[in-house]
Amino acid sequence: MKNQTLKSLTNAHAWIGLIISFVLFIVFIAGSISLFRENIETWEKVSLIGEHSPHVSQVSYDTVLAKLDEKYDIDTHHIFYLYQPTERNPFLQVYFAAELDEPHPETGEDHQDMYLLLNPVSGDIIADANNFQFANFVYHLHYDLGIGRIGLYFVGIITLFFFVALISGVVIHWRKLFKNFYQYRLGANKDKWLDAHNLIGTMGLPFHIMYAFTGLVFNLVIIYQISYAVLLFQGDQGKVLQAAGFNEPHIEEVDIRMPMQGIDTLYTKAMNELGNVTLRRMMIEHFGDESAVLVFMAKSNDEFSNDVEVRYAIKDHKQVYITKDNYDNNLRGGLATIASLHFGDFAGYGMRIAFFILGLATAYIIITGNLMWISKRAKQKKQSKRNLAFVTRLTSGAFIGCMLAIALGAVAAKLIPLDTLGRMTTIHSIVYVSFFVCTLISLFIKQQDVFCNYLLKFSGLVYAFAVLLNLPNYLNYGDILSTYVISDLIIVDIMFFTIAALCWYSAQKFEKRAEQLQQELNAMDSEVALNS
Amino acid sequence: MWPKTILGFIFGLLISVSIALNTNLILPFAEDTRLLIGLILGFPIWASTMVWTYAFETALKASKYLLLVLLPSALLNVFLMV
Repeated sequence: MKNQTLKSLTNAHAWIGLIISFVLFIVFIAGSISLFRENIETWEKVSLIGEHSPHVSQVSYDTVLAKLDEKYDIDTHHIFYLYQPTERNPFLQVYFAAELDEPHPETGEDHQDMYLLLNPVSGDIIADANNFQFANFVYHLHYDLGIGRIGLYFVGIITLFFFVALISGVVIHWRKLFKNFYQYRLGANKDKWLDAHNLIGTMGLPFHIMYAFTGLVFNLVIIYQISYAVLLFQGDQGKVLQAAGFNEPHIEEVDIRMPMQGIDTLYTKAMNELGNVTLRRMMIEHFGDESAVLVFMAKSNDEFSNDVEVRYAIKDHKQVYITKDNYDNNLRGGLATIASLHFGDFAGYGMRIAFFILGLATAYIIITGNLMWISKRAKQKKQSKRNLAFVTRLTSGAFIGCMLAIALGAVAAKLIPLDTLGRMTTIHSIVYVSFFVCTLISLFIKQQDVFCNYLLKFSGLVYAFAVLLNLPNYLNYGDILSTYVISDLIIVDIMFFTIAALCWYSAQKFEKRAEQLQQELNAMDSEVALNS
Repeated sequence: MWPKTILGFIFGLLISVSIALNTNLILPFAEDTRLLIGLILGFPIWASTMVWTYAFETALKASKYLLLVLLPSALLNVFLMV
């Protein structure tokens, strides 16, 4: 390869890396934590689980739905979701839209989204699940930065550039890929950063490529969907979805009221029909109407990433649709595989821990990339010192700010009582404000080493404090909680403690550097004093 | 860098859509399989085209080569679709 080509690619790699680094760092940190989303959900609401112990294993769907139908004016046009109780979540979760007599004061819509935790036998409302969604919020930060559809596409474009950075990195490093595979020089910082960047980048390459690709499919598939619709299906989105296997039968609404009963019988029937599966969710289309259809969506336990589904008409219990092989469509099968690869949900906790470590390692690659860019530019005489200081300070503020913001969010999720009004809004504000404040303050701090040292130590302490706040739950409910719930708590505590330790370890590096710098300055001062 | 970025982004998208469309029209598989192949090919082609664009010294030089790929592929699209 020509030197000029290599130079162009190296410049592009560094430039892209720097531009996308701030968002990509958030995506990877939030994504790594989100690998344990279910565990964090339990961790957040453990007091609720403890307070309502002991839990019964049976569920009476018919009783629960009759009670809900009586209490709420459930919107027929929206899908009604049911999540059965599990070992880690003993409540029945329902998600539906309730019709309102007057438009909602905040949203202006004629319905309100309800997300409730219910007693699985009596149907009594335990809590509003919208109030404890910290795990879900971190997950949103991962894929749309918590700002909805715009964020989704924005993260998609960042992921595309991440893919570009990966490919360009491989091309640049190709000649030395095997020769320098284990090279790690302990000399100058720049060599250390470069070697760490290359070493982790090379060893984690399959993981990075998988994440870049699958992430792109999730966030930007709409582009190819529209292209196909326009070019192959004469602009008909319906035909594209039909070809893509989204063609489950839908029965038209008849506008005749009917109670939603017989769900318990259908549940038994569906489980017998589907065999060895893990039920993901149940849905009711046209809730309360004679045309209502009950859907059971599950994942096969015998095969890798195989989605299965069965649908029954509630009116006469007739089976209207069944698939035992990814909707009998290769595209949907492919999408299910892509999802399994991305979430690492196919090989137990070992796989998730490996993904977590690789996720944090990728965050380290992002940091080293920025540090190398700064170090290289600092040596260039033409480089504007103001711009360089800006990038340096932004790197410290945004990266450490992200770590601190999530830590503060976790502490808030533990400190604010679950039934507090506007609890999630407060947690969202704490996370966003702390991130922006850190970034902003960093832009005005000259002594970056000292700043990073203290901010990292503070972040580490906040993560450790989140762990500490969870300790009373072991003491209060340790003997009544199931082993699943206890293991969830332990997993989240270990994860936060690991992040705390990493923050502290990194802070010590900055402390050392700040001390060295101070010693050098002192030596220079004494030299000046002696000379004068 | 921005001219190359914009050029690579747009041409990468067009080339990837065009090639994915050609595979869809040529490959003798079921429709769902062809759609899946197109989806799997699309993003890597898009990203690779962007990397290729960055490898050139200037955006102008890159655009000539990108056109050399896009035009035949687009013509084949037209030929296969008409």
